[in-house]
Amino acid sequence: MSLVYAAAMGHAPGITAWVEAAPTAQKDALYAGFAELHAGIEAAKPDALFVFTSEHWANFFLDHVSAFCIGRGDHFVGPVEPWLKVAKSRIPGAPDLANALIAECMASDMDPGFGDEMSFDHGTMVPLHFLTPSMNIPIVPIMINTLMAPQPTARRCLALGRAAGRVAMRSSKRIGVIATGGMSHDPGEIKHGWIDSDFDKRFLAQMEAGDLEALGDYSTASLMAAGAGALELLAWISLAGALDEAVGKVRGRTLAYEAVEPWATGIGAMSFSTAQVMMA
Amino acid sequence: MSAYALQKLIREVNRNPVARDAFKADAAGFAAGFELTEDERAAVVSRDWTALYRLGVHGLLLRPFSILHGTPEPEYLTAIRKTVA
Repeated sequence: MSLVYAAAMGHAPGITAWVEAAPTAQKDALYAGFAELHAGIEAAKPDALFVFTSEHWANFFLDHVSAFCIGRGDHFVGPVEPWLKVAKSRIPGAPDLANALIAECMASDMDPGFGDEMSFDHGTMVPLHFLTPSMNIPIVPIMINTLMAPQPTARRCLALGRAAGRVAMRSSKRIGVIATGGMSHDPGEIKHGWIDSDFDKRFLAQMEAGDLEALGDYSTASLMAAGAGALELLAWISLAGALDEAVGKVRGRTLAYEAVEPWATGIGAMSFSTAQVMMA
Repeated sequence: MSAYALQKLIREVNRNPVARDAFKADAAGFAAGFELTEDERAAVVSRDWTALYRLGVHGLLLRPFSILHGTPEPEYLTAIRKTVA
């Protein structure tokens, strides 16, 4: 029926775990952006959410790697980190919606992994904590392998997003889409602590404008130039595919961006219009 | 990425409290349960962050592993940056 809400935001663990480490002005700007995203979701009242996300060895390991894993459990749990300062929660799933997405992918000649059990680390729990603090909106997590080479391409992520966009438009429910991760950061790696604000601002501008050519052109190497963690932006690119498919054009608005050195990450918060663009 | 068994050991210690205690009590004995090269075995038993990073351990496995051993961030970063110095 409709895609009624879309948002993208970072998920650095410091956002909740080391709040006081960040300069107050930066923290306040980001929290204001997250609050605006929360107000948007309260107004849009989605029945369920697609969540394009990534993880940090919480579920998956080198014994079995999928480019994408769609969670179709009837619930999920998180966070796995006891130090995250986010309450241990049980988040409802949306198995019918998940199955619809898996079927749509298969019908589109894509072959995602899927799983009935998944636990979430900060990568999913930090955004949920701000966007749906009651943890009461059913979600379909779509885990993207950003950790282990070879990762999926940006164009494949656009196609994945398009599949989600088609499912949203066919659904009888009000569907929201969330992307989380990034921006520039190199966690645990050589350039840990370094932030590439120029890269981040260029990426935000491409998301605002819905420049799908530029977004699809990102290679693994060109994302990793902004740190290994910048590969998490594949989730944002997936969201752009979903919006383009469902409403005809990506129109984003950056609510906040801060390069937060104590959190070792460039963090963005972006809202998107979900009003349909009339085709000429 | 290679170093499969080495990373499997580290992930097990990171996420399983029983394994964590066993490794802390007897690292060499714990490591005997994994098919490691001699370089890998020596590096993990001695908690040599530089060698472990050079051997290909993912940063998001190695940094939590080093935190379990009380290693401050600057010390960890100095150690892994020796691999590119």
